[in-house]
Amino acid sequence: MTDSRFAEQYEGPLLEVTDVKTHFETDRGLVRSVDGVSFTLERGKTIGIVGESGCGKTVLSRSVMGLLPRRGLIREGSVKFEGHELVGLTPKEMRAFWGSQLSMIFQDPMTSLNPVMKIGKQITESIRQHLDVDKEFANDLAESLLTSVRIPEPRRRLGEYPHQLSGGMRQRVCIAVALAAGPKLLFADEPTTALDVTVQAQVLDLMAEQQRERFMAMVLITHDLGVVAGRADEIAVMYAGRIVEKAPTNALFRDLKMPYTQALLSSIPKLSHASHTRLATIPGRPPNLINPPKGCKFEPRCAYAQDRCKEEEPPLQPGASPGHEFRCWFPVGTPEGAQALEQNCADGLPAAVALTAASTVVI
Amino acid sequence: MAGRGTAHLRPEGEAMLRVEHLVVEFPVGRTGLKVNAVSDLSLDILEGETVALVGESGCGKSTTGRAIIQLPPPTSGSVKLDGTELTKLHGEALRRTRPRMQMIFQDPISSLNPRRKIRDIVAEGLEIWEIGDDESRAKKVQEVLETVGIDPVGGDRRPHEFSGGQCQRISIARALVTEPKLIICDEPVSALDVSVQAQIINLLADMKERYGLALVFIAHDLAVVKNVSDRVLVMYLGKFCELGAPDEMYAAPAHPYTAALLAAIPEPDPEIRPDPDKILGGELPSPMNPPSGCRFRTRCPKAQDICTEQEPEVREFRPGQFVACHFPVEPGEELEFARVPHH
Repeated sequence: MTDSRFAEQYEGPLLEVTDVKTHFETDRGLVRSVDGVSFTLERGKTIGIVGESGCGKTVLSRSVMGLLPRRGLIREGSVKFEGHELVGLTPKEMRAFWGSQLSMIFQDPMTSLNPVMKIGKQITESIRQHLDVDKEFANDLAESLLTSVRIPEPRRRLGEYPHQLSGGMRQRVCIAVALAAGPKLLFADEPTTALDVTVQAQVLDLMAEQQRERFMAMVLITHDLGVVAGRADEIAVMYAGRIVEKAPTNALFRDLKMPYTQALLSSIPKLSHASHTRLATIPGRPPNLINPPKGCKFEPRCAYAQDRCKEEEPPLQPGASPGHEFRCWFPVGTPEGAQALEQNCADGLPAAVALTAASTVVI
Repeated sequence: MAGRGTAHLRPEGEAMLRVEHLVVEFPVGRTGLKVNAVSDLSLDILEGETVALVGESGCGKSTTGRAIIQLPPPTSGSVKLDGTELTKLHGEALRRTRPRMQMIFQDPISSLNPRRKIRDIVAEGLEIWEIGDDESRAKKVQEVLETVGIDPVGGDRRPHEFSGGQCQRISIARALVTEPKLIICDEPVSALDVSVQAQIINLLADMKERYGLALVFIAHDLAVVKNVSDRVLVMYLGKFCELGAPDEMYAAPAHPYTAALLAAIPEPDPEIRPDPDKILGGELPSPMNPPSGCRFRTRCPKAQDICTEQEPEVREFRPGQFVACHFPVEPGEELEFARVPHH
């Protein structure tokens, strides 16, 4: 913000990610962790990125932030933040963005704070790096940040070490650290996975409140569709390094098209189900990212899969509502999809039988 | 929540496992202080029943599970399995009860010995108890592996060659092989992806039916708990809060803490907006110095003077639904946890 490059008002979207690929060269071959992901994010909005472990959601966020180890890394495509291209910048150049423009909260609050540095110092570090203020002012700012993340007795806490706080408190400190220099975009990578449900709700509410007050955009990465359902404006579902369905939140839940999204949503136990309801499951495991299937990456586990899916990978195609995109030849809720599922059931395909047998299926 | 009492126990003789007035305390260094992990908790389990223990971290649910299998034994209280008082047993006599009680842990990968073949891991229980000869053991191992959905052909492989979900299946096979009557499942699905979680939940339901198992299911995810259990026991800071059948209890929680836990669950439905006023505020008090009277009173919107002075007794609030609270929640009552002042 003190940096003159960010002074003028930029009119376009805050973040434009175009065809980002992030591959790693390893002894076993090229791992295609992120393989052609595009999305845009407007100021003050939240996008939720959802998928199973290993689908590339964490690598995507770190790739956008420029936080990946450089050995064996192949990073292609374009990441534009307020029109500035981030791909190709050195870590030194990225310093102008980290903290003051882009910031991040990590999953594990136990390990993302420095255990031998007082909390106050961890917060003021980024304030003093980016804002031209004296120590006194930075301390006052740190105290008000701790108050805003609802930490009781903030003045005393500034002089404490991370181990003196509970898990929920530590995650609040991480939020305070991330917000210290007033970023315009916050990445939250599984911010509540390590926390209890009650604490999770507190932390998510706190993040939403801070986001509103600061008009900050957020990328919320999680494996829990429940976490993003009430909080994201848009949801992108990732599978094997790609976005397989993306839609405004309401449209996604009302009119999902991708069988993977359906399978994911159907496998979650819900409070509205009666006790002992049989859950729908997804057979098999996510594909190997070194040697992924040739056609649709979800085909080996899909209840709707046909011969065409094995050969040709479906492109992202638009759905009925604006902003809705999905990758499928036989989408859920269409005549082709229904016919494919019926055919697979008749042939006894395990995925199709499992899906139709379960009583938790979401259509 | 600080509740005590045994009103919720069924007649002695009906229950397979009966735990009464369980207390587990841990000394804190040489300070003379102690952590009150579990304070006067009672519960019972019938044959083939699943009882879930739920609550936040630090509520004593895992400690209760471990105290049941005497690892470590409780500070005081009684644990009876089929009429045998386990807390009085020592050494060889206690060891003899082990095949009847097994345990499944949260992290499937670290709970399997990485240097052993999975076939040997599963067979170990049979070898220790000298059940059958080599041939019948091999057959038994093969059978259990098949039932949990692991191809026995891969029996020579080691745990690192399997995914987390598969390792959890192997842990279940290991627990099943001695044909136990009771399995303590300590957060068995919380380290797994949602798709794998569903597979393991279904598997546990199948195993329960097939072997007539009783399960103590320890978890913090209330949606998972509702799915798997016959009875749910909610704990707070080592104390009993509420016990009931999940369908009824979730529809009308009687304890304010149960209501708070239910309100905190994010539902995968954008129509249900989380309500910040219903979110439980504050922090769990220190178990070294728990609040007097009802331990939940410091975070409870219904707390009155009596809650500070007197610990509530367990009572039957509705048929089959037991609560330890002076002012149980009436159906339709809205609780505003955000209004409780915190210190």
